[in-house]
Amino acid sequence: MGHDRAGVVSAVDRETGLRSRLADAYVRSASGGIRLAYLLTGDRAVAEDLVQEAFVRFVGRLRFLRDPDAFEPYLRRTIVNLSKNHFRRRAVERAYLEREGQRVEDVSTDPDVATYDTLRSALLRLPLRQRTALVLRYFEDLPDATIAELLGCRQATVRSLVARGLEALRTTPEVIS
Amino acid sequence: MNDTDVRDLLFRVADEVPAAPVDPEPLLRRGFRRMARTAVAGALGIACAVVVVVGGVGLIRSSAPTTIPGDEGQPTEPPETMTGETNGTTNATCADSQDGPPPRVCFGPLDEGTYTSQRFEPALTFTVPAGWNNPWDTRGSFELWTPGWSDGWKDPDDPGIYLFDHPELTLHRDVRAREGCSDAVDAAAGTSALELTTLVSDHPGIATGGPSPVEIGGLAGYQLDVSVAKTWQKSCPEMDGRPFVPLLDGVFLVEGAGWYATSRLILLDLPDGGNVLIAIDEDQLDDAMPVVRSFSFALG
Repeated sequence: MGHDRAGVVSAVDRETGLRSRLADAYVRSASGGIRLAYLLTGDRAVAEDLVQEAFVRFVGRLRFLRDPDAFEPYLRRTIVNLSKNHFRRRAVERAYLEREGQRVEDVSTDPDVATYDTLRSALLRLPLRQRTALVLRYFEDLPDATIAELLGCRQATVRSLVARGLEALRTTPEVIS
Repeated sequence: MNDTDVRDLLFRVADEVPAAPVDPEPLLRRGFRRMARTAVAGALGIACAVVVVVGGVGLIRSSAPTTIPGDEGQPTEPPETMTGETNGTTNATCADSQDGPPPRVCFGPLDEGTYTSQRFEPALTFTVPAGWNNPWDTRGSFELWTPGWSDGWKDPDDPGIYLFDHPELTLHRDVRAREGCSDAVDAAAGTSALELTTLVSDHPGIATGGPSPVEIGGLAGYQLDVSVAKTWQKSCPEMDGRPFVPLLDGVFLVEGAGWYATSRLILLDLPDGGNVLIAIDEDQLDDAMPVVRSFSFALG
């Protein structure tokens, strides 16, 4: 960096104000964050809650942010971590799986819609780490190194998670047929 | 099912969330309300912490100011000496390395030994026991984390620990006085160690036992321990009502448990007319001061 971090933070503060910085960051990033959280959790309300939580954590810390451009990685990482924490609550997960089980029974008779619903359910039934690896690689277009850092594992593990996730989707009956 | 099919599936699922115009105001209101509720729920804990802090400040005030000659406190048996002045790069994990290029320069986790900064000017040589971490090294700032450092949020999954400033043991050069919630530069304030020390010690939001002269690593200046004055109630919007005092580049005080209350400031004059600030979090003084006493600046 050609300037020190104190200079960066102070310049941004002077120009926009901390509150407007949060508003700008939210306008810019909330929709994408909710979409990512939805892919990880399969529940829109939960996704919105996670993104809300991520921003709330950010509110009191704006002044401490080293680099304004670091917000997007911060948000992504927080959402992944919060999703992980969400699924750690086993009771919530069981309720979620029960709801998903009911969803499968409601599959449409339209072949395309039925295939999509089945794939969607298959995607959301993947173990969280496999699904997160797939989402980060194919939805967020992140390199394996970044995914490994987010998941706290080696790059080889990321490749394994992705391969196993793809295999699970490929063996979905509608895909085979 | 190939990569394109997977990508299409993911985007189709994501599209189930309608792209609606985003209004930040409800979030800001909800966010600050939630923080307020959290603050109320933690009021008892904060009150206890304030009692402890006030007691600690009393102890600090009651102790005599410390003068630290630059040649005192050096390890009598310096451990293995290492230098960062190699090729200017490192494979260590720097504070915000996940942000991608440009690559950051830092040592990362440190073994016991003596090191020299790679970017900070003037070059800083320091000695640490095992377990310290150097996550940040630029021309204007240098940072060391004490062993087992936590940012107070108690969430090991929280990425904030990598992305946010936190005053453990930090050095800034050519700092200026700041004022107001916008952190505007106080253009009327001088930048010498004496002028900045006077400004801090005279600030109505600051409680201090008074500055004392010091010499660190060949540079002369002043040291003072600071905390938020009990009578200071001014805050800023993002601080959720907590008493807040902007002071210098990289230094501000926030009252409240789990917040940042840099307590020891050491302001030093550089021969070229600039200054160096050393800021140490109050919780880290015991670990940090021996390291500070080992500092040696490369001066012309």
